[in-house]
Amino acid sequence: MSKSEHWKHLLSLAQHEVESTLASLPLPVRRQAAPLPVSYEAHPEKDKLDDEYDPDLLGLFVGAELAHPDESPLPPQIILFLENLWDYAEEDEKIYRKEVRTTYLHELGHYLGLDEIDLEERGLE
Amino acid sequence: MSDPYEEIVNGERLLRLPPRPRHEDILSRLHKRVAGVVTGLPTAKLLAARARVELSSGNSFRPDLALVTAATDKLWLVAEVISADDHHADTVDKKSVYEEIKLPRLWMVDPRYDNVEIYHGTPYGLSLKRVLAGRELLTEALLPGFQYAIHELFAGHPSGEPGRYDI
Repeated sequence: MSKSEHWKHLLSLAQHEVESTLASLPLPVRRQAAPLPVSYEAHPEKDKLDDEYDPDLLGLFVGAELAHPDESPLPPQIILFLENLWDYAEEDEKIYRKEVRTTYLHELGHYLGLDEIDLEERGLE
Repeated sequence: MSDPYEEIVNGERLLRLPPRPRHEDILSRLHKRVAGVVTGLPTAKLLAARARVELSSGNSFRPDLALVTAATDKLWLVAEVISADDHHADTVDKKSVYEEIKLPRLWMVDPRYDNVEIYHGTPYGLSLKRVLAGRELLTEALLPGFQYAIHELFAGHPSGEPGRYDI
């Protein structure tokens, strides 16, 4: 598989997993989560982000929490780092999809105002 | 050629010269490409080209391209297309105000050199992240799906020839 095909494959799997995760959420949460954009990058590149992040980072939430829109001037958004997720999953598609789901829910939790302890209690660490 | 327009920068009225056709071509292309992405993005809004934006007391700008967050209408991305005969206001005066208000993203689109400087707002001021040229891609992580090859953005005009860009 070429590099381009590999990326398209990872992207397709991730997009499908995010869509199905979103569809599985309870309606009130789904309504809040649906407008939140998700973008997909290979790795966290410091020249594309505001800060320097752990190169192994799996996902990131940027912008303001839903309840506090004035906290940040940036639009809220989730960024998933697909090559890092793929490496973390040791190139196993089933694990990769599970980690995409967990990471998406983790970052969504930040948008909805959950902190790391809240997320850990929900198995989304 | 477009009409002249006025901005207020640090309390002073600045009469901006009418942007030349090349400036307007580049702006139109960029605006159209960003609009295509923002249409499907419920968290951001694209203002009309050179819409007036009140940044702070004494600073009323008309950025070439401006994106605001949908929830708060706060400015988060500005693109200024530089005019060679009227560049000081964009590259010095307005840029320092963008720095003061901690604008998160600033694109300086420079038809003199066919390049785009990408700045990110930081607690310590604007930080130059990249200078893009040629076949490099203009992208923004917070605009999913947006990309523009720099040579396409500046297509159809002489490159790197100061004084000839406005033919």
